[in-house]
Amino acid sequence: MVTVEDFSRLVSGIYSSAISPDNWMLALAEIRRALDATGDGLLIADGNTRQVMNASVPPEAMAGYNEYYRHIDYVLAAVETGPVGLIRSGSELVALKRGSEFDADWMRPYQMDDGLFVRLTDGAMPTCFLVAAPKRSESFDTPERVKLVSALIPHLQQSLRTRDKLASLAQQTVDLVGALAAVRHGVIIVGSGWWVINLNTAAEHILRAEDGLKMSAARIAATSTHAEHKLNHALHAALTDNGSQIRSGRSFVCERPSGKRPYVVHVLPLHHTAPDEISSEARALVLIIDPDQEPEPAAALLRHLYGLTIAEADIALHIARGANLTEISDQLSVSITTVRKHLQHVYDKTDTHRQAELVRLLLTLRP
Amino acid sequence: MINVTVEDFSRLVSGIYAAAVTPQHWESALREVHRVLDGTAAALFIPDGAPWYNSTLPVEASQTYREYYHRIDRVAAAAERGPIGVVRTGTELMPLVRNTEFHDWLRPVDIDDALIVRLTSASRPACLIFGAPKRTESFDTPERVKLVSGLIPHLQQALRTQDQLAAVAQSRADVVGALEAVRHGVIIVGAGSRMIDLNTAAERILRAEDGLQMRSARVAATGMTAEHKLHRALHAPLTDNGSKIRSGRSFICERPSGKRPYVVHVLPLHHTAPNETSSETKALVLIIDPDQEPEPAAALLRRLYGLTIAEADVALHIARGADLKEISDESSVSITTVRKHLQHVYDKTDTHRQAELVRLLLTLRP
Repeated sequence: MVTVEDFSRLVSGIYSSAISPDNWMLALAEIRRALDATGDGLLIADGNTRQVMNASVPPEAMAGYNEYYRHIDYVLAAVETGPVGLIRSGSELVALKRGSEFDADWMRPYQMDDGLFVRLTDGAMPTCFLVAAPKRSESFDTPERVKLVSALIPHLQQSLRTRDKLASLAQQTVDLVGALAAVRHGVIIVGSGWWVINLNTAAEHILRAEDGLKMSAARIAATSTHAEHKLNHALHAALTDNGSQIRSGRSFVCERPSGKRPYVVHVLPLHHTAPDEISSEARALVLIIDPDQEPEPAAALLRHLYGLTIAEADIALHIARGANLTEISDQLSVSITTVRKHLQHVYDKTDTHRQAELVRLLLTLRP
Repeated sequence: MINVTVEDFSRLVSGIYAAAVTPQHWESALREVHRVLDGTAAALFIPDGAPWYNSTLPVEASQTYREYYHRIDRVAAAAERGPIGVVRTGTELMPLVRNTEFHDWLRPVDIDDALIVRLTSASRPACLIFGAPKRTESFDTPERVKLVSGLIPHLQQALRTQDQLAAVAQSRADVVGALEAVRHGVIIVGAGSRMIDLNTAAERILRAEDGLQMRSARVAATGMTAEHKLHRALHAPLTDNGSKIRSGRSFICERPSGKRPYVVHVLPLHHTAPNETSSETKALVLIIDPDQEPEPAAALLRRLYGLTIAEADVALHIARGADLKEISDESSVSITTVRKHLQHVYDKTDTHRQAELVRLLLTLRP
């Protein structure tokens, strides 16, 4: 049996792979050596076949397995459907179909026709750990090897759980960031030190345009001193919680050198809803609205949502842009009566009664 | 004397890494180690938050330490400044606090000797202290020092894992917070139309069961037509059959209450992250409630554009679709006055027509 020092090194490799999956190669190679085996690996069951998550196996054996033999690996198929945490021996499992294609063409030639096998996780796609070795006069499952593998099982399981937790949190964050990208306004998350921690695509566009607001040394900055002052004031209020003072939100307009309608900037303290938070640092949310960015819907969307005709959608959009009936009639070269008739249909179909009401509806349609 | 087998060591290490994932487990992990060491108590200081991050000390002792004694703990101070990953002994460090006021704290908890390790490199590093009672033989026997040394890399790796998990959880929480600031309902839907995440606005809409609702963890519509459209829209972005590009769909969803129908957009959720590992396809459901007032508060108008109370009032009336006559009636002022106020509003907001003003007013709130 291994010493405490050896064991410690094996376990350290297993857990380092939870944070850096690249470390599995090294961790598995060390385990393989400690057990005097030909190869070892972690595999994930996937229906009738399996994916090699990581392995320390001779390259040509690996290539053949990935290409074909993983589909007919009857040894692992038995482990995958068996109980979790139970160590199975090669003498038991290889014998199930001795002389079959997988045994004769892969296990035996690559000297992996004995070993120890264990299913690590439950569920429909379990992860299994295997150690493979050539069939020798003494079978591979000596008490020492079984004991070492048993001692490693809980660590392999815990490492996989840790990795899953990290991966699922990271995946959720990616999904949520995707949702944020669908928001029309610029959204920026600012941390202590006023560093920009995250921002959506709209915010990126606004900052890159450098038309009043920009990114400067990983922080948001305003181009004018006046707006810069307001921004600093607002960030301070949203981020600083000095006991007596409660963090609070501020809004201001930020002029644009291009002469376009000024941005409307809202700065809010970001409060976490997660209950299991451990003393997280303060965050602020900066929302940037560009009133010049057309929030009006596409004609196609209006036709699709409310069944407007092409002419009706056209008139609805003209109204949304602030045109009056005469202007519309001039631009479209139709009589005012026709415009009025179309508009009445638009009112009917959208269940609105006045221009302001229609404008209001049209402007809310897009996220 | 202590004799640690592979099984014992395995158990101790397993506890340490379990604590990395669930920090509440630190206490039991530390307790197991100090039991094997045959000491009095163990404490792990980590730089953030309270000075005792976790310890096996009595509650009262941790509290007095946190409140006062940590400031005069020269042993901890020396460890924090010392080398990383080296076991320091009570023989070396305890003289620093003998016959000082700190002894008042040490005596009742029966600590007179210790093994101390600085674990991290930060300026306010994580440190681990195992305390022991006064004995004839000093606490720093080769076996104990060897065991603690053997645990150091695992403790360090566990703290790194904990930090990484905390960082990922924090960035998730940040983005969740940002989505809360969005007025529309936002729902992330995974395979099988299962809801994965949603913001408070979406939760409120679904809970109202006014056209849309939650049915066994899935989004559902109350009306047959809307349900059909929802199903089709969700089916479109979620089935990614190679040839067809995933596309979004929009539809309106009638509400039994008679309120203005919801506008529902279903979009494929595209990931911007480059390190994607064949994740399942997901859809984004955005629900807009046109009846929910997007109009700004009068206070916001005054702050942003310097409107007076009367001007902000006229602006909001216009946004609600009132004409000048109605505003004059409701506010009991002459039409001329209303017109004058409106002109000031146009000037201050740089707009020229009612529709233009309405448009600006409706964009102000996120």
